[in-house]
Amino acid sequence: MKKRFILWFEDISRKQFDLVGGKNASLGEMTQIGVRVPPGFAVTTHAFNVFLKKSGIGKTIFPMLKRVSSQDQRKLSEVCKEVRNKIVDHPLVGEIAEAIGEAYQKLCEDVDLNDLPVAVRSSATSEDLPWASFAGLQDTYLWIVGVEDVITKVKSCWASLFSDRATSYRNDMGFSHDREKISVTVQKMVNARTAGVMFTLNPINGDRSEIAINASWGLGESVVSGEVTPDEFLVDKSSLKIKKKILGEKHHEIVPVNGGGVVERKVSPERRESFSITEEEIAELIKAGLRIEKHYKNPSDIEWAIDQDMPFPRNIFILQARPETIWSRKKEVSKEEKKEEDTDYVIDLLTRFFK
Amino acid sequence: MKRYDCVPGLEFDEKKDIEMSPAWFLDATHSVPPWTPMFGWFWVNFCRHGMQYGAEKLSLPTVKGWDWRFKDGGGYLTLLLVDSEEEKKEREAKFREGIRPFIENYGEVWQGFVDEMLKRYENIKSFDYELASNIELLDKFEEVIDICRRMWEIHMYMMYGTYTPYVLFESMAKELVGIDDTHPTFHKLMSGFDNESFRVDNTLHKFSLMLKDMGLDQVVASTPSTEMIQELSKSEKGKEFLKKFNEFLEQKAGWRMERMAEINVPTWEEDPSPAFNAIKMYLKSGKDFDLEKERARAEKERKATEAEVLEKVSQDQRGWFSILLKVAQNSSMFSEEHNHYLDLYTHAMIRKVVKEIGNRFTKSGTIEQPDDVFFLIPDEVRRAGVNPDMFKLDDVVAERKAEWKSWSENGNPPAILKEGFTMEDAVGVLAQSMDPIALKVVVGNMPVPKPELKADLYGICGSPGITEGIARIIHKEEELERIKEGDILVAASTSPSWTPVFSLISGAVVDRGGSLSHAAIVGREYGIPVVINTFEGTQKIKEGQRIKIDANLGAVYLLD
Repeated sequence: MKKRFILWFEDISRKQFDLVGGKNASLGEMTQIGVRVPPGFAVTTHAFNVFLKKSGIGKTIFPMLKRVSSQDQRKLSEVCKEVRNKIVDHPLVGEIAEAIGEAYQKLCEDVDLNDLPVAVRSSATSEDLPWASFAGLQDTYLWIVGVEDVITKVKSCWASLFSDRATSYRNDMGFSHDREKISVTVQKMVNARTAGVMFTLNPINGDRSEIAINASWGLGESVVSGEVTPDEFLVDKSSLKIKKKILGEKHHEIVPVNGGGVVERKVSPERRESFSITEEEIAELIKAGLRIEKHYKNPSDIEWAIDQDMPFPRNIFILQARPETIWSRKKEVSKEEKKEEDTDYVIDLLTRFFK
Repeated sequence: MKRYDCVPGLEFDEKKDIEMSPAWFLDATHSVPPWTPMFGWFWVNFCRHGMQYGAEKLSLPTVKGWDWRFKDGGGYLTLLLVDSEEEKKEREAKFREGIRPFIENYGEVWQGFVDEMLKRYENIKSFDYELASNIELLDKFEEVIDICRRMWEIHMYMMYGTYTPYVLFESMAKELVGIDDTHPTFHKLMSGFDNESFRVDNTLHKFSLMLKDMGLDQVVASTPSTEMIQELSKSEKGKEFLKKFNEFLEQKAGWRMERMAEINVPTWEEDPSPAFNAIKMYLKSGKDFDLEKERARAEKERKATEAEVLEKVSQDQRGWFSILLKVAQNSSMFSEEHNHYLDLYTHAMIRKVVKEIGNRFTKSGTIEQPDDVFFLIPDEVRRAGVNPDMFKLDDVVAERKAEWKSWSENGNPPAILKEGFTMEDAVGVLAQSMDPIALKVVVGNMPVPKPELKADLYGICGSPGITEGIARIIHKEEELERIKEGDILVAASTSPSWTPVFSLISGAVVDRGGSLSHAAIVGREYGIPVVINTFEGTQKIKEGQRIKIDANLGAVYLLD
């Protein structure tokens, strides 16, 4: 099969990791198991390779990079900057630009919005390498509108492959620069009315029979950073009934502004005093949560958002999901402790029994 | 020479012992019919020692084990209660630590003891009895005495440690979920566990299937068990079967005996006819019967019931409740498995050595016949052990034999009570001890008559279910052959070697026993209704009578 420049999330499987990178692969994986993520597509590593080849940039930059020594920090910095500029400034090869343009257009049509704001992010293929985490490969551009800007940001993501640190690391380790591949994620921005996090266990005591949901008005940042007191829900995993709900204060919210960027603003008293999510929406979220947990075979930590421009249930989006390592580990510890506590209590009871 | 008591130092003294305790209970489960002097000596000395050892090791706050006496072939027991509050407090503190291993590593603790005992048994099994000198044989005799002592230490330490959580669980289940150990749901929680005793039965069942495959089932069904080996040896196929069967006996069950608490009956290794009886029973049980399926069913049902019961316990109590449930569930396994590895095995080893002594004593004219040795006591064995030809003990045997016969004829009273002391008072003392063995194995829950049911007999539920069938009153294992598929077994109590009959019967009614008695446990594993503690089932029900039992309600109806 001919390698493609663009792959839609629904067509991506885990096997295509090399072509689409970790982030896209995971979005594809979510889509495959029936979890709704904000729609979008991957610009494949193949697109990047073709770009380097057809533009001739590859031929110029790789010898430059090879020559530079990491000992000379300033020189390295200069060279890297030049390389990055070459990538960003060079017009995108026609067929790739066309493919991205078509895909963006189709995305706009799919969600019925002209000039759809999207997020453009790098999707690394070498996430297991230690440098990936600090090498700036997590480049993210939000609220990008229009084909031109999207293409620029795709190139910016490509360029991030040649950050000073990444380059220096590869030189030090003797890895060749031309083997590196990078893919880019282009995904609808969720115009969040409400957002939050969901744990498929009770984060307070690690109880795996419960699901906890935190929700607040606007974008999820305020919940994740703990700036507002969100609405809290505790759901029984087997009966799917809401066992507990606590109204949060939600005194402010973070919302996007036209033309990019976000702003923090106060929440009106009526909205503060009403729940930011309906029970119907909670039910839809839980479905996704259980699917994700089943898929990871582990309690999961999930970021989600509800889009205000789209109808229910198509507006319920999972932004990010990962097997819950922090809580799960904590849970193990607390489970041990709990067991010890319970054992001691059994011994108490046994002793008292003789009275 | 003066003739000794049967159990010197522990013979019942009408005056002094009644002063010491106002109530002595007959251990009817084990010492009816009366024990031979030799076995009585072993049991009374060491079961007594083991109970005090176990209670002390665990530091049970309210009871220091039991005291035992031997009287006319019967074992009589009384509880050693802790009466000072101060001492109870001290014992409580130690008990907290003592009970911990039972909650934290039950499996390991038990396996450690099993391994220890198996090693000791191996020393007895691998001994060359033919070539041994009298001195070497006497050495082995002292060794089995020590084995028996150790066996009872392990037995009672384990039993106290296992049944205490069981009794607590029962009371917690009553409080939190509203079920006690006469409730069908409770029984489901305690069924479907694997144990070595069950595995032996399962192998016997498999042998019955093997016979069918080999086309030998007709031969086996129509041959008396005592002639089975001779009959099977006639054909090649039969020999092939016997080879496998002997291997099984040697490794897994050769030490099984018809009566668990005696040594005057042959082991399966000596005489496998009871094993053939069991196989014949499985042959009769029809092709639908599948022991493994029955087990899988019980296990599945148990797991579902666990989930159901835990659901009823509030979230914050669930943690400790499920720990306690798990610990309590060990009781069913232990109850069956300890018979296999402890009582039966040790008694078979004692028999092995004592029997050889009997042979030699007979040869040298010390006694008249080998089995007479069971009417001696260890001190007398020692007296003649090195030079049997120099001593005659036939007069001792003759006297004791005559006594023993009269014990059997007269029977022993169920309790010896101080004047003015009633049975209710006595049971009250038992309950006050909180002694889990007294509560669950010896006494059990008392049946409560429910006039609205209009039943003829009331007991308590040992295993849930309802059935109807022909009553077969069984006193001894030999009589089990009379049982046909679908019959209801009626007995005073049942013993481990009776287990295979549970594949044939549709239900059972027993006079005595608690929820951890053999009939209750096996009934649950075989999925048939059992009513326990009816007290007078064997008297009120007539042989061949049609009866209906509703074990869930503890009711028995006589239909004609």
